[in-house]
Amino acid sequence: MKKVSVECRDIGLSYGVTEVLRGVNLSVQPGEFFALLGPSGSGKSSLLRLIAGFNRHTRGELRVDGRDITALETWQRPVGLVFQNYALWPHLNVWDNVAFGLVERRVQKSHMRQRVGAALEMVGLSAYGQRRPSQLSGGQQQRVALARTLVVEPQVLLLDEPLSNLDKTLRVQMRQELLALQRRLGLTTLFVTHDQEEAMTTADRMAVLDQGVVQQVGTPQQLYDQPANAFVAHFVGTMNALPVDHQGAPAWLCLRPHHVVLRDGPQAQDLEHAWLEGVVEDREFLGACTRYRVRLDGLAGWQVAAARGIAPAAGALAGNPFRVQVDEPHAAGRHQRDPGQRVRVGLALSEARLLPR
Amino acid sequence: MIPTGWRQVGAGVWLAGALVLGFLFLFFVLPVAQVFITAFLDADNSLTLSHFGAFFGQALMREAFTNSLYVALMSALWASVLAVPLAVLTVRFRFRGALLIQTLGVLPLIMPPFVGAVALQLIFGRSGSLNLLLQEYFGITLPIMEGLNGVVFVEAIHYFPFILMNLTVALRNIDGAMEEAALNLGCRGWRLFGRVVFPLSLPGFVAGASLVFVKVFDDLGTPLVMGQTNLLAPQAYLRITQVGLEDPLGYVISVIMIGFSIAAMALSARVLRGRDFSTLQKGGTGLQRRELSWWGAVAAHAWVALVLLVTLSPHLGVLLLSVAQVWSFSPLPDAYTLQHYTTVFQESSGMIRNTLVYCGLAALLDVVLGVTIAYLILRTRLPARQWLDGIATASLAVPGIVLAIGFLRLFKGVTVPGTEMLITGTWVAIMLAYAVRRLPYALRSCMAALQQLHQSLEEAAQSLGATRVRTIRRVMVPLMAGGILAGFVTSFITAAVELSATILLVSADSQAPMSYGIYLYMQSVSGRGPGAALGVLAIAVVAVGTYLSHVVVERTQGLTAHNLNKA
Repeated sequence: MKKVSVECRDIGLSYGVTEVLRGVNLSVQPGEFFALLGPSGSGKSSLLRLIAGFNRHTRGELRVDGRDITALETWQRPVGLVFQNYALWPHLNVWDNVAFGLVERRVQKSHMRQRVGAALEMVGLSAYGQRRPSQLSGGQQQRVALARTLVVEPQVLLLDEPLSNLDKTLRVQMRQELLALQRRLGLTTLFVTHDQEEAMTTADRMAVLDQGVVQQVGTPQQLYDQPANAFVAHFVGTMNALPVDHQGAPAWLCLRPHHVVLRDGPQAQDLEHAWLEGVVEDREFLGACTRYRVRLDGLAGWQVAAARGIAPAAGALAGNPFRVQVDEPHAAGRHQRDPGQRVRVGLALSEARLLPR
Repeated sequence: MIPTGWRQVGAGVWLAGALVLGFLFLFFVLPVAQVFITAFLDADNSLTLSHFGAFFGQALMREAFTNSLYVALMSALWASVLAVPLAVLTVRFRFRGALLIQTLGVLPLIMPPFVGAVALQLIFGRSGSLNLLLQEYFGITLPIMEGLNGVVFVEAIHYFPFILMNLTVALRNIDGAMEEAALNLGCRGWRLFGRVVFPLSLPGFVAGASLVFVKVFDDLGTPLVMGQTNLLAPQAYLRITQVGLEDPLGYVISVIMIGFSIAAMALSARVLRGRDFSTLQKGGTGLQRRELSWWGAVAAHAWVALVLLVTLSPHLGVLLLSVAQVWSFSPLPDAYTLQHYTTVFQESSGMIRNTLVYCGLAALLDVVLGVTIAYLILRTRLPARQWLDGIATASLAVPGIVLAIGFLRLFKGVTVPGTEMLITGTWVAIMLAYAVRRLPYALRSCMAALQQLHQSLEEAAQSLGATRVRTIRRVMVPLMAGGILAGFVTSFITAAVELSATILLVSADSQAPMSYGIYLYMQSVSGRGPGAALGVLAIAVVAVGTYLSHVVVERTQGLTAHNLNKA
């Protein structure tokens, strides 16, 4: 099958006076598994429904395979949508649900039987044709919904929060299945999620949306390592952000928890770390590591950083408590620090990113 | 050995259960059983089907049977034709007439169909307003009110709201994604409606249509008033009143009517089973309302206006008739008067009082029984308590005339203790028949009210030292008051327009309630005016009652929602 691209150019969408999307630019490559990540209300679902043809954008251009599909109705677009709640029709059995789109396309009976059979086999539900949707588990319903969409051979597959209605173990399994299927078909796929782990583990590339604007587009690794702004930094993975002044301009000093180290006793100054003092507030045991929340005494006493042109933000000295999260690798039998314990906190400045504040 | 659960059931609960069961047996199960026994027993008390053979052996009876089926099916069909477009309009389109349609949905129900029949005769009949005008201007007439089709017309106009209301709810509960999924796969317009939207709302439609079928199949008043006696219910009535209480055919007809009522309900239950298609999830959005095209809007408004005109015509007709001095062979009355109202108040104030007394007492009895049954079912471990609900609800399948026949048969010759008076000769029999037939409505209200009441509220009272009885009085009854009142009003207003049991059980004019009075008046041309005036009063009573129950239900919904949030 031909692999196609999806392109959004300066797409805007408003309901009355509320602007849901404010100039979205995206370019999804042919065959890509692309995630739209964002908090609720960010406009990610609206964008997906807009590509499917249920929302009409008020400005901008939407192209699939280079062709402008703005004027096309949903049934004219080469785009298939799998709904968050699957939207399987309860009055039809599994077979008829899957055959639905083929009936609309007036596909010949024998041909239809073969295609529905193949679609059900693809999702491993060949034996379930006569069941009603209500007799299936959540994961099976998800697969039926997928088969129903894929059987009409769309060029672009859209998944709206595909895993949110499944329980946790099933979610991981389904995630891998979805990915394997997409790889096999090579189908350009966009999926919406609010779960950053889901996006990072599956997507070739992803876009982070907030308030109707694309904040950053890139591979999961790019977004994790080089977040473009504080929003992306916080939304993708966990991030510590300390207010600083960098060469006179206000900035966030951003560090992942595993780039912070804890020491008990007094520590010789080194060139790698900026050392601060603080008190352990609480801890979470995560298995591979223990995550501590440490309240810093203040951002004063920070000489090393100065060499890199970084100074604590002017207001930060006033005594507002700042907290950092620190991941300390865990090994069997290793002693954990207790809340209340005083520690020295080392920030690995070479790993830090400075983002505009 | 006594099962362990039983020991926790107190003596009071047993007593309450026994009293309710006793009432249901004496005034419902036994009379109906009596009807069945008579239909299946020979003169020498042996089991027989010969009465049924005799029934189907008579051409007249066969015709009555097919006529009843025809009228009931056609009424359901025409009621659907009226109701389906209205329901779809309100739910699927942005339509300014939506509120109008909702109002329209209740209007026909506040008027007994046999009252409307007379008014419709004057408007749509052979020499009614419409045909006179058509004759004058176009030289044609429409035989709308002729024969069985006239009955179908009256019944369809009266009962279409049942389909409208059920279908509207069903449509509202469809998740919008159901429709969008179909659109995305290329299904739209009429195909979308036929393949997705209508099948998903089918349970609601079937529930409404089967209700219409049963109501029409069992209706006695309308065909009698319209002079169409060759239907099952009128035949049963004529058999009993003219041939006598011993004539087995009346019982055979009764059994057939019950059979068809049960069959229709069972059929709809079968269709509904496992098909709770209300797919709307919490936080989901329903079907998208779309804009009507200009032509669509014109057509929709025209349709609503037409239906409104037709459904309001009985009300208008009755009102006109009640103030008309002379109204015959003219589109509108020739002269107006208030004389009929004076007549009604002079002659028939007893009827108004009777209606208030019978229906008031019957409704009171219903809520007492309803609360008791609801409590026994939901809050005690009384064995076999579900049967109480089953028996009480089964009375829905028993037409009024059948229950009345059962009363007459069962209590034949039985006198009120200590007097010479026959039980069936007193107004108490009428009141009891009302109570039994309207019990399901009151019971549903009470059950719903109690279900919404979180058990923790009672447990709190009990942990603070209130006994079971005091808990019921101080906590449950006040919180259930809205539901109880709604049940009372529903029982009251539906009993106020009931004719089919009344007509057999009224043994003296002094006992007659309004519904019977209207029927009597309407028998003669000169009585139409006062009959219509009495009809207007009955409508007023029902309308006020309906409005009150609506207000009460709205207010208590707020109260219970408040409770649930806290619970």
